[in-house]
Amino acid sequence: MPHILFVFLVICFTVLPVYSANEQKTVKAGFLFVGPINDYGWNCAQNEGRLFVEKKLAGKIQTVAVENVPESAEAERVMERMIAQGAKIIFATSFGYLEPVLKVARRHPDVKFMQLSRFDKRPNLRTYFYLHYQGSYLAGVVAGRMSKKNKIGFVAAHPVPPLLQSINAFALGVRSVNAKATVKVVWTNKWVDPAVEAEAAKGLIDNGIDVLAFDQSAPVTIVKTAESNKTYVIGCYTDDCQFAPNYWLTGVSFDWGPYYARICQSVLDGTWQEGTDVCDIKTGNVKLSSFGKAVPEPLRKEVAAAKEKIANGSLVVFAGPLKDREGRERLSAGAKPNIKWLAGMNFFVPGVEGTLPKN
Amino acid sequence: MLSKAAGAMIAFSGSIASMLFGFVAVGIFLLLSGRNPATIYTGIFTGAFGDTFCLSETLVAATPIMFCALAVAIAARLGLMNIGVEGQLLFGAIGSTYVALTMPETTPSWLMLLLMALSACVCGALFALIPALMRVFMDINETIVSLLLNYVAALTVEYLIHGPWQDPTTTSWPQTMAFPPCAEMPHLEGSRVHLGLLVALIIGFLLMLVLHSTKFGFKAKVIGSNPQAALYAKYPLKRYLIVAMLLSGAVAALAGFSQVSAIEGRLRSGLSPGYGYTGFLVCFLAKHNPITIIVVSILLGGFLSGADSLQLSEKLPFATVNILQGMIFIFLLASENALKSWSEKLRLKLQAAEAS
Repeated sequence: MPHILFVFLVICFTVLPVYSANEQKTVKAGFLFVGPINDYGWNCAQNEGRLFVEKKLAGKIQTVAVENVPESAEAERVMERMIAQGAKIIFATSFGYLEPVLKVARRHPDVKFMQLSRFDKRPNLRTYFYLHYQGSYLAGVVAGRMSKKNKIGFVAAHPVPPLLQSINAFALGVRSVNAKATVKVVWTNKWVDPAVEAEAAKGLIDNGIDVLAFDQSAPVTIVKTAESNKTYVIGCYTDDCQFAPNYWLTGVSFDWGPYYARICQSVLDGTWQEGTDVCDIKTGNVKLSSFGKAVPEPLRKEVAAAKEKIANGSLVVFAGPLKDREGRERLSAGAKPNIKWLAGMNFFVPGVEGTLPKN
Repeated sequence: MLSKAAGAMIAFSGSIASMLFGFVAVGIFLLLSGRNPATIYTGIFTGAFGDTFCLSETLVAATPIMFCALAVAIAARLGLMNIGVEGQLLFGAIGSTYVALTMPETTPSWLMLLLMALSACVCGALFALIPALMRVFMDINETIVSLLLNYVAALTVEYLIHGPWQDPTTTSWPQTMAFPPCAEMPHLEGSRVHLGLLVALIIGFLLMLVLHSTKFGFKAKVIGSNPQAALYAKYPLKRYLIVAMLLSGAVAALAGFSQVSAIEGRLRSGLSPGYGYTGFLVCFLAKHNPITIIVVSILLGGFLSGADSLQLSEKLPFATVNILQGMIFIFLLASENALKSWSEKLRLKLQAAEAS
């Protein structure tokens, strides 16, 4: 009778009183990663931020992490488990975690939550934005200068505002040095899907592009596809020039560590507050990756100068007057974008080709 | 004649041995990778059943698996392999989402939930009707058809959340609007355990009654185990097959309904991380017995939900946890069969010895 066995086992497991030892000297910080931490991309960069915190605040902050957490109610369980194990602050490092975060945050007012790229108000929720687009603009300058055919490809995951910012800024960068170039966008609708990404990259290359940019969580597939098809590639999230020794141009990468350490320190000091943070080139969180050997010295200097101007505020990427590709004015003359405007971006600038799903 | 109790004892020890064998085999793998299997196993068990929170999360994970396994069991009783429960679950989710998004927000909660459940059942049953009709009238294998329809269902969900049902307030993120509060199933205070669990348990017990003590159950069993005899006895074979698939689809759809209503609060992709397939596995581990299904679902739910605590406490990478789960599944299935034939031989030997 197999079911007697199972009843027996259930009783065994329930009665089995095994409790993990409770050490409560350090503050525990939990990290949710949407993919594997060895993806050489988004999650890898996030995890490096976590390791930085462990090192910098050793003995004061202890971190726990779970990889491959889906952006669904599964995330609730993972967060609840972290809290049950004593986590006092939780970093939700992907766009789609907001809904589960809000549910868990309501149940645990004593735990602090950090949500990336989204807006919401709760006393124990702080959101943080990354201006990846500032780096994308600089990468666009490189791409615009390096493209001979004036056709540039862009493989992108989801049509959400952070990615639209990247694509638009990239196109503005391209157009700032090369008015004839176009940026052709293909959506994959997946953060990670090597097969679809390779197909999209291949399709763009067959269409005659000579520079390929992208915004996908795990960059290796596309970088390698570009290298093997002799197409220049612009990297994303981490410095992956090792995968395209000949055709790597540059890329936009992240340095989350100092920011995460600062947030954790504020929890230790008791100064943590709800609110919104911006991580960008000025704060040093958004960086330009190393240049590939194909990029000539004058161009490197040009990009470095533009980077300096973005950092000191004299160059604003989305500066009014800004029109979308249908000709509607999105920013009036002299207007500067704020985070709310950026977080609601739902248009393409002129020079971008491809469909934009309706909102 | 060997006593019934002794036969049961042998089968019982066989099952225990098969489970132990699975854990020992995976334990060797863990030892080789430099981990202590004992701490890993205690980690899984405490993560699954260690305290009230873990237990509640185990029940949350077990609920959809239970629905799906029961759905598979209904079809399996008539010899049908309904591997399309995953798709029927998704269509159930679609059906209840439609009601939740179109009914006015002021609808009383009981009415809203009832309509959502009904709509889910209808959608799931109709989706299961496709392989049923193809099987009955065209003699096309229902396993293949229902399996392939799972992809149709998943893509239909993707279409709806990327297209007509996409939430206009969150920019381009693939999900529907959040359901109104009246469309949320009641929860057990302080946990995510929801009414769906109770419904699944009731369905399990009802199914046990229907299958074992009604004429329908008896005829179903005859059709399932010997269709020739059923034909000879002039049983309405076609009607039974279709009704079974409809019921199966409806029960699977309730899993989708309870997930969108109680857990997600909206329709989104990644709604089911393969609950249908897990349910299929559970049904076979439990030998299609509804009561055993309930128990095995809870065990497996614990195993699935407890595993992420390994990432937290043991700092195992996700991939290792995944391999661990897969290996234990394989060993459970494989060793169960191997040991069953062994225990059967032992039983026969004992019987022979007793007879002589």
